[in-house]
Amino acid sequence: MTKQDLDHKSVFDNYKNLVYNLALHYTQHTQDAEEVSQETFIKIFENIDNFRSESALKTWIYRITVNKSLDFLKSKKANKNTMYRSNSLEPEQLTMNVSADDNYHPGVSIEQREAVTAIFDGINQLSEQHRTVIILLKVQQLSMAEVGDIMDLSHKAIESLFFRAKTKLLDILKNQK
Amino acid sequence: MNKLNLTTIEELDNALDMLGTIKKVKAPEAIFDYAFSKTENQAKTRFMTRWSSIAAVFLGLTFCVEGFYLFQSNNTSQAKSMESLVVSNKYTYSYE
Repeated sequence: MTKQDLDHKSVFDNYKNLVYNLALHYTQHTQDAEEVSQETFIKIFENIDNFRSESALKTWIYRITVNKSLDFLKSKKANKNTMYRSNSLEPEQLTMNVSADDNYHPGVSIEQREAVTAIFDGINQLSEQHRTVIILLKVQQLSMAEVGDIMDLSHKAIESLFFRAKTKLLDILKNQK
Repeated sequence: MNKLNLTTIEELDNALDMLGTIKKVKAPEAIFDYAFSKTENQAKTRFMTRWSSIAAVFLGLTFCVEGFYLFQSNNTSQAKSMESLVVSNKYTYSYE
């Protein structure tokens, strides 16, 4: 292994769990999270030489993972729409098949599975920014300042974004049956 | 009635706190092998593309320079033959 290969390996070892778990929170599916992690590390390995500072590296890795996860979910949604059109299934039928298969997060305990799945179902219906602020603050348990760095927003903007995300999520959960 | 029976933001805050208790999962090592080999392949492809474009530009330039010299030498030899024709004609006419 060359020095560059070792650098890649050490970056992977340091951040593999962070990337994989964050991807899992977005996708709630192990195979999808693996795919997102692979794409994230390809992007990291291609551009790692531009980074020296450790704190900037962590924020940058968070940003790449968030963007790759959102891109993945967008393309998955587009594929589902294509499948729906080509198979001429009823939309409800397709949603039921997909959510039964997709809502699997290995980090969730059996006792909490039903409640967490219901919350994630609600989070999945939020906009990208609202979803990201809730996942980073509540699931990843990062501070407002850290989330501000990742999302490139001020502390105040994160606070109001979080409040709006919660209001929207509460509306969604209230209408959930 | 909704699944979680939530009505206020405070209740939602408590429900969201549950998300913080989700256990961290160990990432599969296979992710590295795939990402690393794909990055290497992409780097090789980029290297090949870059050098083949450089080679193509170099060949194109060589072709242009060669063409220019060929054109110029053709012009020079044509000019020389024209000159000799003029000279020979001059002598021809001067005899007359």
